[in-house]
Amino acid sequence: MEIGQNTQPLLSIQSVRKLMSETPVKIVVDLSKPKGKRESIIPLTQSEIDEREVMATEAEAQRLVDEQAKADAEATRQSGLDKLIALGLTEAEALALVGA
Amino acid sequence: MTMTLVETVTVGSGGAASIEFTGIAGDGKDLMLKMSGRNTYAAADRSIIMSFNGSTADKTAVNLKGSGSAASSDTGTSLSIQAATTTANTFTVIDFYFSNYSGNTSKSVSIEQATENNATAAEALLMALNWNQTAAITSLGFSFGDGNWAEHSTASLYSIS
Repeated sequence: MEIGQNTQPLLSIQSVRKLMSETPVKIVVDLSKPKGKRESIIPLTQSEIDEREVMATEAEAQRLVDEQAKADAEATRQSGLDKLIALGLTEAEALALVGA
Repeated sequence: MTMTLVETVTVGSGGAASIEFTGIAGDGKDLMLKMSGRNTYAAADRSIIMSFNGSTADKTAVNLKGSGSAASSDTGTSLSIQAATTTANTFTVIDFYFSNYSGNTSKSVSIEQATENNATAAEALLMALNWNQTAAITSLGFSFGDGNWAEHSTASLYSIS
């Protein structure tokens, strides 16, 4: 095929616009620049998108760790409450001791 | 004490995956960042991935949380803001205070956060966070793994001297 023979564009302008609008962007404020020239809106590179996915996995893992720590703390608190009640304290008395 | 607005960012239509302040000068004593933000992901909340000088590592924290019906404490370093399934047009308010940001010791950050939600699920949080690196803070980044900063989210950086 000679150059110029293909009259069909590979992607329509609408498709390109759609692709661009779907590419995540970052707002970078470079404070070393003068006011009014600091802010840039930059599409993420593929490596940044890949890194974002890795960070999402890490963030989700951290969130699960945090949730588990919270659940463990609540379980320990409830266990303590149950033991106090088993010793004969009312629930209100036990709660007053450990904090409601 | 002098508090000087360095720059304000407002997220436009289409949102943004991250907000980054770079080239932070070391001429102040402390930094304050006031944010009003919301994530676009279809969930109740999403965690902010916070980076110092491009690093997301070496953070420790202690938190006090209140949901309106229960209080809790933990040592998680994830900081959540509300996302798309919370009440429309409501935003999480977060204040960050970075002490001695240009010094050569590890960096202490105090964080106050409150979600706004016209429902039972909402949260107020106090976080004491430490970034255990000694380099001066020259850039700060706030991104997400899922979703974007929603339109109208804002971040204002102040220098305290």
